[in-house]
Amino acid sequence: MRFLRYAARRFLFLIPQLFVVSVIVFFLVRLLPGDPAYLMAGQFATKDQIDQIRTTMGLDKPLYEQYALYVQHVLRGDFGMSWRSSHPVIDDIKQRFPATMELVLLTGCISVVLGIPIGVYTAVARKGVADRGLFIYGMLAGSIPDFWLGLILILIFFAFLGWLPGPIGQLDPSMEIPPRITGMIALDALLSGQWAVFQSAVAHLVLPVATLTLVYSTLIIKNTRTTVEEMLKSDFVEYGRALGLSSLTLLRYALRNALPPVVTVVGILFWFLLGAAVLVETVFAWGGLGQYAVESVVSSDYAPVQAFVLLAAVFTTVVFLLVDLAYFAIDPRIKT
Amino acid sequence: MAPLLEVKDLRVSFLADAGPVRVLNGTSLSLGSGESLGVVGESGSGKTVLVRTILGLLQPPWQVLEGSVIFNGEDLLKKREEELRHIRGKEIAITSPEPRKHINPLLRVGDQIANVLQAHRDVPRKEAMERAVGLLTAVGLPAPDQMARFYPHELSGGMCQRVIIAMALAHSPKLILADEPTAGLDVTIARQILDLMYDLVRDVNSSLILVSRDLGVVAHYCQRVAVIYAGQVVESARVADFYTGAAHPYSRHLLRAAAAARDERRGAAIRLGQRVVFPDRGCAFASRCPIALPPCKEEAPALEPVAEDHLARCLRRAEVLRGETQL
Amino acid sequence: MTTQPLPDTRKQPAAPTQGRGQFGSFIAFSRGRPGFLFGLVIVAITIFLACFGAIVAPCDPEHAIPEAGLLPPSPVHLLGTDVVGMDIFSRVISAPRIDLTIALVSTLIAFVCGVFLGVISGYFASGRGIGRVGSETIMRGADIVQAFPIFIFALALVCFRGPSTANVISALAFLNIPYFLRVTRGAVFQVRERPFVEAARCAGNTERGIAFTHVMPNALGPALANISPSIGFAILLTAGLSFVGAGVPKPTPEWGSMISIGAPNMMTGQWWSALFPGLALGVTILGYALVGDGILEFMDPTRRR
Repeated sequence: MRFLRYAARRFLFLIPQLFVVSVIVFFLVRLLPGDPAYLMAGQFATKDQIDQIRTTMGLDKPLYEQYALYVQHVLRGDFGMSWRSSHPVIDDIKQRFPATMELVLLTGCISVVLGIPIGVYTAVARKGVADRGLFIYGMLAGSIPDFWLGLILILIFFAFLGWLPGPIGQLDPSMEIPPRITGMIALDALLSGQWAVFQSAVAHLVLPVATLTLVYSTLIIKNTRTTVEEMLKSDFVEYGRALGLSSLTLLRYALRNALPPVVTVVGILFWFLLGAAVLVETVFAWGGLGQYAVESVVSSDYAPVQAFVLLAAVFTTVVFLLVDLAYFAIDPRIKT
Repeated sequence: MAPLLEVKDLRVSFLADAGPVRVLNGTSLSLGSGESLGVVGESGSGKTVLVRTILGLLQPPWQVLEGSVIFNGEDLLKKREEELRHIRGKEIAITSPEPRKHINPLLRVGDQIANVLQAHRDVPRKEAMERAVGLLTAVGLPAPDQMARFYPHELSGGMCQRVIIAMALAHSPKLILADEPTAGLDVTIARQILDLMYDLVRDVNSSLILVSRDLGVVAHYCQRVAVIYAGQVVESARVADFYTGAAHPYSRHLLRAAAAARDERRGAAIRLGQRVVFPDRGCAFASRCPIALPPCKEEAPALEPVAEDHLARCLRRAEVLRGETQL
Repeated sequence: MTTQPLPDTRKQPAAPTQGRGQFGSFIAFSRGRPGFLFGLVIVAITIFLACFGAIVAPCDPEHAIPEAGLLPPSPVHLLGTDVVGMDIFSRVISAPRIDLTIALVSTLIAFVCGVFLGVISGYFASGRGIGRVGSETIMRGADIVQAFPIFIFALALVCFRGPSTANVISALAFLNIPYFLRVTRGAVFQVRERPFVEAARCAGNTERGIAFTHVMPNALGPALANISPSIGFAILLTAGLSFVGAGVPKPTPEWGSMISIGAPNMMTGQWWSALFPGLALGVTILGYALVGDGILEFMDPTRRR
């Protein structure tokens, strides 16, 4: 089938993409002046540890061999050690990854589920007040720093109103973490039937997700609105009107044709969210990958940063691949 | 017999940033049942605006200032959108000069035709699809069952135009507005499309308004011709009369240019200077007319008879018709 | 067979028009647009503060008085003091200097490089030989850079090159190049189809000459319109980097780092030390975005509401 052929080609193309990404990440550490082994080992390393790292990284070997070693390690899941946590980076990542995904996925879904209908509605019903209101909201949301908004929400809903818990992570410290099924605390609590824990987890989720949604859903809303508006004014919708098609049919035509660009924007949303998660996690002490990356950057713990950048790039590459595949499925004009 | 369509003194303007621009300045014409009328004029003369106004398709910043469009005894300009919807595509249908732009690129052509069918008739989808295939056959497309599953980008320009015609003729409308149906098509294809339209129109005894810049096409396929200049009809005649003797200087100019292009005689066309203007007084064509006299700039001529079933908007129409001027 | 066509008086211009010599219409344009005017005012204020902020500030923006820590807004300290006693108002108005410097320099570098690369990749996109190869390489390069979420990449670059202002500037410049590249490329695609390009070719100009002396000036429109929002975005990125501690070092007044200093106090209800810098950030970015929108609307009349 056409689609499978295209999908196969795109997946094949993924390999050189990931290759280039990995090369870039590989070179990142070598940007700094000084001995990479020393840098990776960290401040408290012993000479033996530094020597060991030097061997592992193959620093006395030619560059392409070093790269080959690096790729081998990565494919085995070995990203080195974080000297701050004294754990292998891969373990730290596995521990924290679901928390970040929780934020990103929740925000993404809410933004899409709410944003698209709102965008469509404002494109169709061009009433004055809703239009202006949305325009202003869009402008504000694009200007306000997400980390600052998070702090404001904490101020209002925690410090002043006391309705929601403070930014101390995913759960009330008095609560026990539920058995790890997905790693996402709220979901795990739900799946194990621990209602109190679930409630606490959800309460802690509200503010970070709200922060991200308020700032980034506007991307979906504005783009959906613009695209649907454009489609409604397009020549073929005009002509459909000239042939007497009902408003409902014309709307269906417009929506169907607006789908490809909207799908692309959803992909871009996830691209933004990954970066935003870093900041928001820091504000809310979320304990996810983003906060981990930031802490590593600030304390010059290079192995985790390198791993994080690689993962972020892989994530976005995969997201864009999925967007391409979806685009191909919905737009028959794309050639194989 | 009462005419099927009567356009009376239509005035339409466009609200641009710099102010309102008059496009139709008192256009009138009439068409009987089963008649075919060719509407000719250059770009910007208002031909497309005319047909779109008939169907009530104009939106702001376009404005209908005055006039009426009587179809089957009812003024279409006074109808609400919902009432117009039942007329469009069913009683009156329009084709497009740019078929690719006016077809939905993301739906199969068969589905689109079926949608048009279902818009005005309560038929189940399966039957609508079958009829769609039938329409594709009628417009001369090969392998219609497969063609129905194609997307517009997989068809050539000529095929897209046939699909448009299929959609326009889906309900055998009483009046077809063919707006430059052969623009952008090469000559052989254009000929085929026109022959097709001619046959289909004749088969269902519809009336046809064929908008074109090409006098040859109009001569071949229409019974009557109306020439539009500066938003007004300046001449209206039977085709045979028109081609043997036009009565308006502008018509003569068009005919000369057409002949010159055909015979490759350069320099035979009359040179016309500046752009179309809408003067406050006098004939709109006067500033460019080679035989204009002082009264032409004072008094705006009305569309008056010059011979039997032959109207012209010129003070010197009789002279022009009899060939007494240099034109 | 057809008659002499007259120009269609109703057609709207498709390509953006140049802003030269249209100062009068620019004034008229701005008059009816309060948002645009607001943006211009904000831009003017930030430029003024960048030049003179530290001078007009009532207190020394880096002078800490621990005993006067966390004082709420008062006539003495208009916006209060932060946890180590630095006057917030003075710091807020001194911050544009560093923020704007970083943003301006990085945006200009990104603009120059992005436009240059955009012209090459757009003009030679469908040629043969080295031009085509170069064009494709540039586009693949842009794709790769954009494979990394921008903030994360900025973070990584600053991390691996050491936190310093120069590194922040170069990181931001590098990351913004793809955007200028793409919009210029799109404009080049349109411009190169125009008749005067063909005419220049017939007159014997080299392809390179045409690309840079004829096509480029006419393709600058979208890139120019994007300078202002890019500045705003650069300020936002700088603030974000400083917030997490990877940007401008601490005592230097910078809105993002001020927010991070004041963040712990938000939870205890002492809102002023983090609120005002954020407000300043938001208003500034809004202003630059509005100016960008306005310029875009001015240059392309079909986009006017």
